[in-house]
Amino acid sequence: MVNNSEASTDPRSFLPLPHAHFHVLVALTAGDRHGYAIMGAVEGSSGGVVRMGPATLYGTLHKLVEHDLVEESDRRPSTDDDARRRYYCLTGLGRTVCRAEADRLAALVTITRSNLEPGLA
Amino acid sequence: MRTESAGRVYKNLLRLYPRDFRDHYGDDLLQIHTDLSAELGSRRAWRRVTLDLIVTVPRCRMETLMKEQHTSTLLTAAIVVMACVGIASPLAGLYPGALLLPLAMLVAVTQRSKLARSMDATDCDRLRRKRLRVAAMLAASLPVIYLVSLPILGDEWGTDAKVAFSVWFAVLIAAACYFVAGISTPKSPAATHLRTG
Repeated sequence: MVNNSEASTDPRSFLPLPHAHFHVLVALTAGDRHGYAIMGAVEGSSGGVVRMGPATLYGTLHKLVEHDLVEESDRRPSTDDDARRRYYCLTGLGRTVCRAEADRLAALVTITRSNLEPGLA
Repeated sequence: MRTESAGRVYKNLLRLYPRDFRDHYGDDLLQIHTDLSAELGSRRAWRRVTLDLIVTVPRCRMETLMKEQHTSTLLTAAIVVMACVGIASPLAGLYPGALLLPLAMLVAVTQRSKLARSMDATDCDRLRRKRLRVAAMLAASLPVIYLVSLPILGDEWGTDAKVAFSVWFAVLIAAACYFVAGISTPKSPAATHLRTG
């Protein structure tokens, strides 16, 4: 199911990231998380605007794993957690791509603010 | 709905996804459904997963289809052209053109046999059975639909038009069963490797 053979290693080739992909990457910047924790983190970081369904989340995770931006993690942050839960973490490339997308969006925000509120930029 | 029975219903609904997807993520999806039900309550959890199913099932099916068929672009293009002509020709009054529809479908189903080269014997058998089931579904539903359509369509429809109408519906039924009811996706070698590796 997972095929990394065709994954690109140039971070710019992933930009702009689809919203769902970026939200999941941002959720994983805080550390290893399982699916349900990622869903909660995405909802929290978007102020409740983005509510992912289970299959949307795992479809997104599948694509991120395919592109080598995310990988399954063997670490268990909490010892009392269900051992069957699958944890995910960012890869080095995923971290770079997430930073690049954040920079891209930050540049857009700066331009937007300077155009709409010239005195405040 | 009680948690256990809700879980069973959701587990059955997961059969709508391609086999690879549910083999790999089925347990995780069930776990999330349980977590959502515990946190939001059954009704809100169901609203969320139902919307999710409606959006993601066709997308997953389409992605799987595109992945499996990408090996032969020319053949895929031929199937699409045949299907388009099969749909358009009866609209233009050329009713026998509808016969291209089942032909396109059978070619599309047969194309999957390419996958068989990298499959083990069990998967080959499963694929063969699925092909036979689709062909049987087409063959069985055609005369039934034709007979049912006779009184419904009335005398103003000619025989050609009735046959075309029946072909359309038979293909529609077979395609719906093939792509939606979860009988379509053979277990891929990659998925087998993941489970056993």
